[in-house]
Amino acid sequence: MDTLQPVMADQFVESLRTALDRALGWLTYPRKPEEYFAALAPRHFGPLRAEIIALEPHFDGCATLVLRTDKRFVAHKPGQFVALTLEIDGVRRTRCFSISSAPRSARGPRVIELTIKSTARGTVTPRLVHPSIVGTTVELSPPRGSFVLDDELPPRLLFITGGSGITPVISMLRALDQKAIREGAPGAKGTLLHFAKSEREALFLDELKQMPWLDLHLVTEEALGRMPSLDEASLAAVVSDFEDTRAYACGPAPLLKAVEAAFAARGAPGALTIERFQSAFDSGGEGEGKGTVHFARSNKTVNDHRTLLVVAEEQGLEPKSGCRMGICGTCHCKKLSGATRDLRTGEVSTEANVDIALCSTVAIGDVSIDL
Amino acid sequence: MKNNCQLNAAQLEAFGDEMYAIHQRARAARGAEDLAYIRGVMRTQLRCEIAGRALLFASFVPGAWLAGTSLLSLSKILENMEIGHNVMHGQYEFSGDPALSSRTYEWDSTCPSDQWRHSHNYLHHTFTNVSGVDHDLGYRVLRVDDKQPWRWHRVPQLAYAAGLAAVFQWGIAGHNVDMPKYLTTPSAERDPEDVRRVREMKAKSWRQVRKDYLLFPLLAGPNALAVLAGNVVANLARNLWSAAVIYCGHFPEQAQTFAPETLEGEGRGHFYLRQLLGSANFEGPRWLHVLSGHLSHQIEHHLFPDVPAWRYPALSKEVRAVCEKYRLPYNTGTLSSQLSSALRRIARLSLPPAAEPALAPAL
Repeated sequence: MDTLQPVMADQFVESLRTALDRALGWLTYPRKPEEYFAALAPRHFGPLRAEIIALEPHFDGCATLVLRTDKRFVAHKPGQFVALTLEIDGVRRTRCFSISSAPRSARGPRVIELTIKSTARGTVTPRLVHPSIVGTTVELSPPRGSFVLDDELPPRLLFITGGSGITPVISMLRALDQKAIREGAPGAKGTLLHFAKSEREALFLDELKQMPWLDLHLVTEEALGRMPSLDEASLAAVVSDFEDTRAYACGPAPLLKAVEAAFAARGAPGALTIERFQSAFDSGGEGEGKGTVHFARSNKTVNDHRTLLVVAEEQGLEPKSGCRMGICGTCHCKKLSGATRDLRTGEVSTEANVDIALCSTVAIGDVSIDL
Repeated sequence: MKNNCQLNAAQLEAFGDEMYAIHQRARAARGAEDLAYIRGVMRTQLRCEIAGRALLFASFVPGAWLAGTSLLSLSKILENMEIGHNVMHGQYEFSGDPALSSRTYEWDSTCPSDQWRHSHNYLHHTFTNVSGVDHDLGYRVLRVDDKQPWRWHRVPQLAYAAGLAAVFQWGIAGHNVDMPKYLTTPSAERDPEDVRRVREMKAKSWRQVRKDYLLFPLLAGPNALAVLAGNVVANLARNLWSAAVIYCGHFPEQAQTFAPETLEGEGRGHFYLRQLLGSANFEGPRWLHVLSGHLSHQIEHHLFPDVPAWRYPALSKEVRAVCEKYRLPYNTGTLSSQLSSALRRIARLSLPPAAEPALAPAL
């Protein structure tokens, strides 16, 4: 009985709060109360924000951004990522980045680091790694993702990373290193197998060398004279009984495939946790007449490259439509993911969760539509 | 396809291409400035509303009632005209900001946004001034087109126009359904789509009424009547103003209407031409344009409904130049001249047509 009362009190407070929110919503209808709060005190309401306070270049097209988040930001678990939103020429762009700093950063509370390697033709990352980005305020999501260390640390840890795939792992390693310094031992024996183009492009190399508890294996294309590859035998050369270690892998798709195959060959796929970085163009390719259209609600997938309105109607779906010439907006619908081209402007959109006009949009990659 | 002007087919196509080029340039130019503009207006509107309602609560202080009512009226006008109407057209959707999504924006009006998007964005903007299809031609209440049949009950329609203006938001909410027919049809035989619309409209109207005429007055305690009166006046002011702006947009004498046959095989050139000939602008200082949601540039709005409205004054220079080149009329005047022209037309059409049916003005 003793434990029942606080639960009831909690429930009471909760239902009181719900009722209050609702009554407030009646007063502010059709707007939400938060919109009024945000108009009066923008710093305390609305989306989480962060200011980019510094940029530290690593090599061409790769830099670490230092961000000071606002007070509402909840500390991340090492390995998690945030969705960062910034407006470029008035268009909101959202991209996900692993947090590379440890939760307790030496730079102070509420400061996080994102290490970003730009994609050559990207719209967002080249801007982010340019020095002019310092001083910009961006929106952040709360930290997300399940690529995190187990609550109870296993005796041995294996990390396999390629290129910028080291960014979530460095956060884990930094947290473990802090623990090692604090407690004299990291609590686990760690091995890092990292693949990079060259020693110069191997991120955080000096810092990694300073971690005495970490067994570091760096494989570079430069030293090897060819693209490195990985299989069961070469992984066993690093950790002979790798199937019995808790493993984390992050990097390019071929690397992840090879790691998965190695663990599967030893019958231990469960020991491995993988983080995949994805781009809208990753599957299906880019260009008119490429990719598939997936209608998420009706769970239909087709290979049809006419306007999405025609494709949807052909599938027997009944999306609302009006003028069919991109004027009235009746057929606007949410695109959940993928690359599309707006036929009115020729613009390519790779953003997730944005509204598109079905009648004047075509898929140019694998696309998922909220229909 | 009936051609409503003296352009030949080739000229019509060239005219369409020129308008399309302006349209494409305007679409491509959308960017950060547009976002900064609309967010600024939204911030101002929310602050006006908060200040207005707060002043109404303090209306025992001399002058506070008037100031509060004015600010609330201003807020409601900005929300409906410059924000709601334009956001629901998708003018700011290029940004991907969910707060500016045309699909989900709900405005401060008894007309449900979904029905507005259908009747306004689709029917009115696609079939502009086409008799029998575009219900904005008189909102099923007024006879503003020679092609609409005359009946005895049209005679006092100037009074209807004034009455409609006073309750304009209800007129807009109601014109999605043929109300006289709906009310005289036994409930079992009503079109289920109409039934759904009426239900939606009732739900939205209740929320609006609950807020303005019930909860805010009740919260004010002893000041309830003053708050109620302020809210009634603010809604009235917004209704009158939006009606005046809308009457000026398509009802002045020179604004043409079209027969349904016009739509058969209509190409891009004629589409733009119909938008041009069916709409009318009015001139004035910048604040007047903002308060009208830039519907003072109804012509540009109908040519480029998805372009941020505050860009219309700049675009109007290009549009006028094209009109001059093709010797097409560009209907503009002062607010008072356009409004009196619209009222004259409403008065004229309250009487039966002369023996010879009036033809659409030939150009």
